[in-house]
This record gives sequence, C-alpha cells and structure tokens, in this order.
Amino acid sequence: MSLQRICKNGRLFMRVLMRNKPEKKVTYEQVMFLHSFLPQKIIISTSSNIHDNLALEDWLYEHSDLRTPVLLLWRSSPCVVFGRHQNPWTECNVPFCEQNGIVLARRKSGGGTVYHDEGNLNCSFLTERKIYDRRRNLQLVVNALQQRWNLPLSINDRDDILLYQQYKVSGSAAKLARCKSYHHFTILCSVDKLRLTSILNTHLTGVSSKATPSVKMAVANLAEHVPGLGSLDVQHAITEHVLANNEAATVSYADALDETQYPGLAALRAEISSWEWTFAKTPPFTINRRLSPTERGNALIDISIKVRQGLICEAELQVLQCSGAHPQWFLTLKNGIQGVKFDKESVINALSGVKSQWINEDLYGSQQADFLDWLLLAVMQTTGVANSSLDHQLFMSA
Amino acid sequence: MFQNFWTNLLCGGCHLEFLNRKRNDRKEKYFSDKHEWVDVDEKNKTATVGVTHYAQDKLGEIVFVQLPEIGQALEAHGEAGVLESVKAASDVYSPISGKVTAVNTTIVDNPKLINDSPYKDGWMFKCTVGDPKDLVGLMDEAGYEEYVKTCD
Repeated sequence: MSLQRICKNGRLFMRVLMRNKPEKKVTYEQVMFLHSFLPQKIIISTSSNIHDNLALEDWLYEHSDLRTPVLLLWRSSPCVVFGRHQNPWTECNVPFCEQNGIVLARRKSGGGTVYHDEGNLNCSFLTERKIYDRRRNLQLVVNALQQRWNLPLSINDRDDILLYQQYKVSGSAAKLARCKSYHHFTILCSVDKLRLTSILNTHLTGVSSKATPSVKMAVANLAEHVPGLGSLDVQHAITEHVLANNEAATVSYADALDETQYPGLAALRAEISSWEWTFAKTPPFTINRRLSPTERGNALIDISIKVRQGLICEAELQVLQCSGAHPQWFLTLKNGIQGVKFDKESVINALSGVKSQWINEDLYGSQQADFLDWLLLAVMQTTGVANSSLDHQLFMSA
Repeated sequence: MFQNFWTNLLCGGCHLEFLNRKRNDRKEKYFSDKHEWVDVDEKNKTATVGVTHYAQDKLGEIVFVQLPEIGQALEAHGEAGVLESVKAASDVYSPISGKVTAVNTTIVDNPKLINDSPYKDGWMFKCTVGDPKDLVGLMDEAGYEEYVKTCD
C-alpha cells in the first residue's frame, strides 16, 4: 500500500472517528463571537391564541428571509400542544380539555406534549438550517435569565433547561427543512402546575401505537426560585439581553390577524385549527380492552378498536363468555361503529343508532336492557372520547 | 511487508472493514446534496429512495417515520416524507420526480432500521422515474463521498 494511500485512508479514518464524537458544547463566549447567529428580529405576538401563534410561526418559517435570524415570542391562554407524530388521546385528557375550553393543538415540530397558560413563555428561533443549534439558543436564554435573576439553571443532554439540575423548566422541539429550521421551547415561569399534571394524564388504557410518546419529568416554575416572576418579566429579560448584545436587532409586535402584513396567514390558521390536522393526523392506533360487567358475572367480552386517520377503521368484538347472548347484538354493534369518526359526538350518535336498531329488531327486551346499556357504555368508555359522568348521563338519556 | 502489516493493523484493518461494510450495503446509487440516495433500476424504470449514512448519523436515533402515500406524485427535490429523531421533525425530499409505487412499512414499525442499515433495510419508498433528466444533477458514489468531506 503506497504512503499516499495510507495518508488518505488515515485522514478519512480519523474524520470518521471524529464524526462519532459527542457534539461540542457551545459556550456563551463562543456565542458572543458568533454575532451573526444572534436574532436580528425579535417579534412579539399580540395574540394569546395558540392556533394564531403556531400559524404565525409557520408563516415566518415559510415567507421570511431567514438569513436574518428571527426570535418569535408568544404567550398562550390555556392549551395543550402535542408533537407532530403524537397521539393526543394518550398524551392528555381530551374530553376534559374539550369540556373546559382548553384548546388542543398539534404543532409541526417533533417532541412531546406540553401545557401552556399565561405563565409560560414560548420562544421560537427561526434560522437558516446551516446555523441551526439548539444549545446555542438555550444558552442565550439561560444567560439572559442568570444575569437578571441569578437563577441556578443548566441544560441537560435532552436540551431541557433544568432548575437545581433536577426540575424541568423548559422543553424543546424543532423542525428542519432543506435550508431553514426553527427551534422552539417553553419556559415555565408561573404555570398552574396542578392543572398541568392533571391535564397531561390520560384515562385511556389498552392503546398500542407507533406514535412518539412524551418523556415525563418533574417540572418547576422559575417563580419557585424568584417569587412573583412572570412570563412577561422573562420576555423583557430575553428581549433586552438580545438588544444589549446585538445593536442591529429590532423589536416589533405582530398582530396574527393582520392579513395585510401576513398574507395567507388565515389559511395557515384554518389548517392548524382543523380537526383533520389536530386529530386525524394521529398515527394509527389500536385500543384493546376486556369488558366484564360486575352485575353479570359470567360475561367476558374482548373489544378491539383500530383508529386510522381519525376514523374507527376496524372494530372487533370477541365474546369469550356471555350466557343468553344473541350474536346479532354484537354484529349490529360492530357494524354500527365501524367507519365512524373518532370524536365524542360521532361515537355517541353511532352508539345511539345501534340501540335504536336493536329496538327495531326486537333485540332490546326488558330482560336484556341492563346488559345492553352497559355494553354501549363500556364501548364508549373504551374509546375514551367521552368519559365524564355528564357525558354518560347524556348518552343514557339519548 | 512490515509497512503493510502496520497499515493493516492501524489504519487498513479497521478502516477497510468499515468501508467494506458500507460498500457491500450500498450497491450503485445516485446521491443528492441533501443526503438522500436513489437506486435506479434502468430495466424496470423504477427507483428506490432512502437517506444516507451521513443523514442518519446527523439525525440521531430515528423514532418516527412518515412515508408518502402509494400513488402520490413526487416532484424532484419536493417533500416526500418526514423523519422524526429526538425532538426534531426533518423533511425528507425526493431526489427525482415520479409516482410512489411502494413504501417500506418495516421501517414504520422499526424506525431504527434507517440508522442501522440506511442503504439496505432502511430504504424508504420506491417510485417511477418521472424524468430521467432528474438524475443529471445528482452525484455518483465517489462524488458524494467527496461532497460529504466538505459538509462538517
């Protein structure tokens, strides 16, 4: 083997070796030198509606010249935001959110599910793809907060910002395209943690799915270290820090409803707030449950519901044990829910339709009524689209 | 002979084994500057598309794969799917135009196949070759290897 080839192979080998080394951490000093990576345009949204703000972010991503890096800041009224490939029904209590006016939204970036309220600040760094660097963005914010309030913050391997090296105060997600990118993250300033914990818990069980699951961690608010600290204070701190370090930076306020300034934004908003995007984009999943009424001790029924693109594409009922059962009950039920849209109204209507059909076919006698009512309720509970006692009462009286 | 022995031991042995592992996996392919590969079957006028070793390495562990629909029309360098790795959703582009004829459902169940075998088991979709001229702008294997050296 010639010396030339040895050297060429050696260099290539070393390059391969170096490529597999862990990413170098960017220090703040390096960030300071990389002046062109600092945001040039700080845009603060005046809307507190999550769909408005996700649409605005999308608009800036599609239409802005990101050679000028942008930092978009916004705060939302109570909402749950899940990642591009997540299942909202396994990530949060969907019926509770729908009943209590908590908006549900699917974002276009990856990552896990978060709860927002006015105590949370969202930061989105929109840049060219070649300067995409999550740690650099997080380091900038950490330094802004540490300089103002001396907060004991650190960044872990998952690009979460931690308080006391233990409690998560920020979670990141990103979207990457050919030439552009955005990295956005939450900052928990004074969020209602009790509400967060109860909402980000699902009652749905028996689900198998390829959807990306959230990684749950203990969370904390910055206000636990600096009493009275709010998201507006943090917004000011970050803005002032960027302005102090980048004399070319500008701040402006964005009205997400201004179609003149943002032509096409309304269409983006319509897409992001649509049921098709929010729910039908959920990766296919199957719910398997074994049903057994306590009053009818011998009955044992396995139910399997497969949901794809927001529809119940398959429903199977396997009766393992049920004395006196009429096969037509289960056939009518299976056919009645197959093809139905996977939401509360559609499922309740479908099950009510099944009950009507049983009555019309003389299958719903006084002796079977209790069992059949229980069966319909059990199927509704299995789907998880409606699980409050109010929903059940409405259903039973339908 | 002594020189050859040390070469094999220090550089050649590990390195060549690494290259051979990649080469056996790879066959003849064209490459885009966004780190997708396309393997064209000239006889049947179909192509197989995936992402390169460099791409999967940069993405990190892939946790979710969104593939195009069968029958979907693709534009050259247009969006064809999404790969989600830790917290980042990355668009995947088709190097050529055409119509999707098959998708690799195995990687939907096991996204890590793209990391482990990007050129073989980790293929993403197959499509017709809409316009042979689309291949003109792509790199061959040697050209792509040179290009990757400039990327880091």
